[in-house]
Amino acid sequence: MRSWLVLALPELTLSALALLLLAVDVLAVKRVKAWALAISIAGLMAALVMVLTPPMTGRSFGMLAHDDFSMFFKALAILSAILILFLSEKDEVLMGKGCGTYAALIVLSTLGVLFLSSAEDLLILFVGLELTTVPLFILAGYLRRDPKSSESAVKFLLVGAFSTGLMVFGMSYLYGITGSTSFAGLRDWLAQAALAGWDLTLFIVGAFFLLAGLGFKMSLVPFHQWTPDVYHGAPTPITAFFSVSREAGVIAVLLRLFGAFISPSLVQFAPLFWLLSALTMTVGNVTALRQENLKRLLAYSSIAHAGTIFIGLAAGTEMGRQGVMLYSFAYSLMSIGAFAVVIAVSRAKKSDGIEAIQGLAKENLPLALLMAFFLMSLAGIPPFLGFLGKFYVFMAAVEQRMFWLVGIALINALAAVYYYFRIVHRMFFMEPVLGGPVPAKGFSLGAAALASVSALFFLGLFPQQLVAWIGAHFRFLP
Amino acid sequence: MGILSSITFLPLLGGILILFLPKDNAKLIRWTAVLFSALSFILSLQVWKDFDRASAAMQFAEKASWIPFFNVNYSLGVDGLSLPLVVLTTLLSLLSIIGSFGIEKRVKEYFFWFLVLETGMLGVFVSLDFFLFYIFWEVMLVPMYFLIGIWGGPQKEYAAIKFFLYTLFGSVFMLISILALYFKAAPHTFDILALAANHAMYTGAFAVIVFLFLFIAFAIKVPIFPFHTWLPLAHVEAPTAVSVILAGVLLKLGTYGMMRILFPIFPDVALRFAVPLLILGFINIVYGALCAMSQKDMKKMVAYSSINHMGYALIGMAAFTTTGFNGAILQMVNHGIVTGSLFLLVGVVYDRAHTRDLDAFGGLGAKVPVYTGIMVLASMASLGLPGLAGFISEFLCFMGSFSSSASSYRVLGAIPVFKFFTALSVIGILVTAAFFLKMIQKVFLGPLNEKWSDLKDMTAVELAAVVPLTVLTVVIGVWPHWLIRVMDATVQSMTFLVDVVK
Repeated sequence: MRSWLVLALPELTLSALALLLLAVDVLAVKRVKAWALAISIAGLMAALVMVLTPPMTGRSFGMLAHDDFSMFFKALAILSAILILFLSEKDEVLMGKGCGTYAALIVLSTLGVLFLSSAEDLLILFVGLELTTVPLFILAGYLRRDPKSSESAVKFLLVGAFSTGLMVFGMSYLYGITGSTSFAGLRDWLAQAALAGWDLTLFIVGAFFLLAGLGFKMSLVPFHQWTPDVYHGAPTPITAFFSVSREAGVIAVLLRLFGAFISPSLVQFAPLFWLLSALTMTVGNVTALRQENLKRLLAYSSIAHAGTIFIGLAAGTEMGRQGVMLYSFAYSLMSIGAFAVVIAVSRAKKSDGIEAIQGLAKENLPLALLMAFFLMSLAGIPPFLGFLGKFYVFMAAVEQRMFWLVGIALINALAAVYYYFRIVHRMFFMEPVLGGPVPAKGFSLGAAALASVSALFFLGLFPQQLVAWIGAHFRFLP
Repeated sequence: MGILSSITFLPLLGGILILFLPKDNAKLIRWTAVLFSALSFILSLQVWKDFDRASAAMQFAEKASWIPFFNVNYSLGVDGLSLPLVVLTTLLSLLSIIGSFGIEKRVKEYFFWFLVLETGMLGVFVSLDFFLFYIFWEVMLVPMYFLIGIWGGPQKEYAAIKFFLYTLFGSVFMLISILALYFKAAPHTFDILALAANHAMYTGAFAVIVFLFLFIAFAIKVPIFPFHTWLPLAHVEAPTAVSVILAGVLLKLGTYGMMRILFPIFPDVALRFAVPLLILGFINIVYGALCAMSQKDMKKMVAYSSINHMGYALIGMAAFTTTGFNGAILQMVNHGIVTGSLFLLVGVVYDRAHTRDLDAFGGLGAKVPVYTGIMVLASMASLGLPGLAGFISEFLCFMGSFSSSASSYRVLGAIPVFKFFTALSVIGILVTAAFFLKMIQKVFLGPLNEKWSDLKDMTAVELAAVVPLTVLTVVIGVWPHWLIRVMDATVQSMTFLVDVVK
């Protein structure tokens, strides 16, 4: 068989899966529909296995690099998608009439992340990013009768279109100057320019707009304003999906682009990365301090985490890249876990305000403990994996003598502890205010949360396997 | 699994087990907690018995590769510095758990967090890897947060978050120092002993900055003035048994950290820092005592007296002499025993009277003779009466500090600085005596306040929690040699290190 086909097998599988799921919806037979979830999970599992046992590394179409690095992010994206499907299993709207469509959209968005992790060409970058976000426009507005959900969708659509415009504008500059859309072409041009002493201004402008466009998608400050509203309005499982998959895809692209092709020092982006990271952390954390809605709070906290993850990118070393990978993995698990608890609570209480979770320890101690563990991990308190992720990126930054950035990050971590523990405070120290005790049912939700918390705990305690695996899988294709 | 691991993780095992016990069976939960902390205590006694007094090396060492990628090891060991504190921790935890039998609210959670806390504290004392040390250091905070915040007094929630954030603020400095040291060391390592062995590599501004960062982290825990503001609130609001642990063990983590990490890794900076440390110790002594004197609340008074008592340990440490170090470690242990029993005793009267106001009592001496006897004894030990535990260690600290040659600076050009401040610190003893005697007078002497005419004396459970500490107070006061002998070899090696730098 042609090797490029074999290499792209996971992508092809997911494409086929999405089409199949769409077909399921057309079949009006009820019994077939009930299988939509099972089919999608089985398909995703199959893709996960294919990703983790690749036949070889190499390129497809000269645009997709199937290497160890992309393998990590692909596995992460597929894993997140599986967990999200578990989270939405009991949701009447998402898993109702159009459950096949819903699952297909999740799969398509995940497919976009797969392309992004392998992207070695501006065109693939564009297509992958659109494939990731267009399903998200629809998913954000899935609660058709809820004006907040529609607002969320429209907002994300407008911002998405605008940022794509910025990005394509930047790309046009890069193409215009270098005459190539491939990352390697950009790299070669830069190398030549450095030798010949050409003026880099236009290239830098192009790269800057590209970065700004990606910054919107990753909700870096100052491109973050859309995030809280979109998170707030979207159905909660989708909010969880927003917080992990899209971010992982963009960070993968950034790592590849600026780690292997456009050297940040050459285009003088190092201070810019520093600033973006510091700003994103600080603004995210400071605004999270006063949030009274759980989803908004987690939205701002996801901005803050994006900033912390960015430290690894700012460090610009291989250790930094590994730190980003470990952190992204940890963040996906803890974010999905925390959202799982929020889903369980808000379903019972019909509210996602912070008062919904008040007194949870009295009503359902295991659930409250679970949430406390997720929050501790998010706050970076050992022995959970979240701590190790932070520790890893900080280590990379200290190695590069970026003491101030680490200092800012640590002060931020302190602020984060404050607002995460405001939730803990509500859960454990106060009496419940909203009626409707939280039931212990919802098997798949509980399974997803338990799996996440055990992974966070055991990998936090015994991280050697994971660390070594990342240490062996962070390289790009030469 | 080695014996130190067993000591450390048995409580955690018990805590996890408790989570699976039925919520309504409080008795079973309590006795499970007692069982596991007692096992941990018995094993620590075994270590105490088999400990080689003549050796300064780490004993019962366990080492396993944990994250080889960063060269992080799971490395445990005890020496003469940590062993007394390990045994103190297991003992106080066991007694505090017995002293918590009165807790009726959310019993299951209470004992779960308590046992997690015990594991965290023991882990800090036995770990020899800075990464591991930090993990335990942080892990300890969370149960403390819950214990204060759920079972504490009227201002418990504020006290809990203040304690938590304040200590985390210190951890920020510790984390950055750990990383800085890791990258400075060649080969990169988190091993505390290896870092100490290469102390000559850390010089100049690097050493001073990292020293100060670590000092802040530990000073918050001690607490050293001006980082003490979390202490009165947390101690007063915490439930009785948790106050015992806070005062008895948590404060020692700060001084332990200084002696285990700060001094061996930066001996020459530490030596230059001796005079500031001495002055801070002096401030702790006098300021803590004066604050304690002005309190109307018995628990607050004992809390401030902790600041005063840690001051003695600080001047002992600042001396950099064998006597001073011995005194400081002994003072840590004694303060744990004496202040632990004082908190338990204040808790006993609070449970009955629901007030701790000094003016609300009077004449209890005739009404509750057993309680009075034990309380007076503990107070006397705390104010440093010869023949009781407190006197020995305070005396050693003073003696060490008075004879110290760590600095040749002379105050006003005439009086050696160490002699000057040691002499001034004696004021602290005077004030301490004053407020404890005032307390005894107001609460136990004089005519009986009729309001308390049906006050009951101590119950068997309460006696079981306090009496072991009282016995130890007397035994150490009369014959401290068995305790000093355990730490002597280690202390000799530490002063040797400092002498080399000189």
